[in-house]
Amino acid sequence: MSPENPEHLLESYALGGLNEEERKQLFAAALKDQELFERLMEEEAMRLGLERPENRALLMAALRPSWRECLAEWFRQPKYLALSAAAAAAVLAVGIAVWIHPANNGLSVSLDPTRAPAISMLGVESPGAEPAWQIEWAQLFRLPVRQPIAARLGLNKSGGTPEYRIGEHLRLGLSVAGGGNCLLLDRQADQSPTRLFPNRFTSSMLVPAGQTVFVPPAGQGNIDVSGPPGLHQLRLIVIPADVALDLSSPASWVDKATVIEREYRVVAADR
Amino acid sequence: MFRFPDGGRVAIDEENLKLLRERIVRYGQSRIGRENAEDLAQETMMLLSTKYGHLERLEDLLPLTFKIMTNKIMDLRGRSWWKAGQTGGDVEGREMPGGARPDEVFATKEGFARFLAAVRRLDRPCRRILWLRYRKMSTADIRKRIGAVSDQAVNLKVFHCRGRLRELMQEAEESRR
Repeated sequence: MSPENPEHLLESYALGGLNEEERKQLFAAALKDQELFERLMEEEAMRLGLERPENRALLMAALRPSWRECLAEWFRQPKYLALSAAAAAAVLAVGIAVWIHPANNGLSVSLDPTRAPAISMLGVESPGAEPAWQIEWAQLFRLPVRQPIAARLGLNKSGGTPEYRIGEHLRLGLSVAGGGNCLLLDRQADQSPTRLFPNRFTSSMLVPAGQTVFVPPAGQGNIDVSGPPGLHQLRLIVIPADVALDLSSPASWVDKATVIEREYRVVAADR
Repeated sequence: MFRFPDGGRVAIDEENLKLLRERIVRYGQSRIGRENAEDLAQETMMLLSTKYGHLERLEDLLPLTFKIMTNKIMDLRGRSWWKAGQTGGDVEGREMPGGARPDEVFATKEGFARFLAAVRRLDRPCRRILWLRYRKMSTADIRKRIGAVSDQAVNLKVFHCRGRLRELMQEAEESRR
C-alpha cells in the first residue's frame, strides 16, 4: 500500500472511518511534524464533539442525501444507463396509457390538485400487511407527551381543536427541525388507530431537516373526513434520524422519542 | 517499550517517546510559555507512564495525550486566573478558566448551528462523501461506492470538501460581523 498524504488523512480523522493502517500513518506523521500534530489535536476535539449523540443526529440529517438524490445517482451510473432508458420508456408508456384510459389507471387519487377527489384515511395507509409493523398501536397513545426534538404537526385548520364536517378536506403537515424518523397516527375513541405516516405515498419514515411533509403529499388530493362524529387524537412520534424506529421493540427508542399530540373534532355534515 | 526509572512505562519506542515529548513542549511553548511547557510535557508523560502504561498503540496513546494536555492547560489557566483574583490582579484582562473542553468544541448551540448551516451549503457530492465518511465507512468501501480510482482519490476528495466547508464557515463568520 502506498503511503497516503497525512494532510488528506487528517481531514477524514474527525469524521471517522480511517482504518487502523491509515490512523497509524497519520499518527506517525504527526509525531514528526509539529503543525500536523497541532492540527490533529484540534481535529481530535472536533471528533469528540461530533461523536456526541445530539450532534451526530443533526449532522447525519444535514449530510444525508435525499431519496431523490440517491435515485438520480443510481440512474446516472453507467451500468444502469440502459436500465434507466428502459425505465424512462416504461414510465412514458404508462403515462400515455393513463392519459388515454384515465378511468382504468388503478389510482384512487387524482394527480390534478385542483380536481383532487377525496380519499379516506384508510386509503392513505400502506396497503397489505407488513410484518415489521406488528405492534399494538394503542400502546403508542399511552406514551407521555414530550418534546426533546423540535418538531411540528399542523392541520389545515387553525385552533386548538379544529372542527371538520364529514366530507370536508383534511390535510396534515409535519416537520422536524433537524430531521428525524416519524410516525403519525390518528385515533378516534374506541376505534383502532390509523397510521397516516409513513403511508402509501411516502414509504420512508424520514422527514428531512427543514422540509415539511404533507399527508397526503401535494398533488395527491386531500383526506376526506368521514364519520362517525367525535374527537380524534393525532400522535406524532419523532426519533433522531440515526435511530431506527423499530416498532417491534419500542423499548429501544422510546426514551429518545418526541411525542406530539393534537386533536380535531369531526362533526355532522349538516351542522 | 520504554520503561522509566520509577517503574512507569510507555509502550512506544524511545525515539517516538522523544518526538512526543518534543511535540508537547513546542505546543505548550506557543500557548502557555516556555517554563510551563516543560512542566506540561513532564506531567503528561508521567501520567502516560504511570496510569496508562497498559496502552500499547500510538493510535490509543496520542488521543489520550491530547486529552491530558488540554486538561492540564485548562487547569493551569484556571489556577493562574484564580491566583490573579486572590492577589488583586487584573482578572478581567486574563483568559477565563475553562474554555472548551475537547468534547465541547461545539459547546454553544449557535456554534454548531453555524457549522450545520455551512454543511447544508456544501454541494451534493461533498455532502455525500462526508456523509459516507461520517458513517465510518472505510476508504475502500467509499471508493467502490463513489467509483473513485483509488483510496488516495477518496481522501483527496474529503480533503477538498473539508476545505470548502471551512471556506463556507469563514464566509458566514465574515458576513455575521
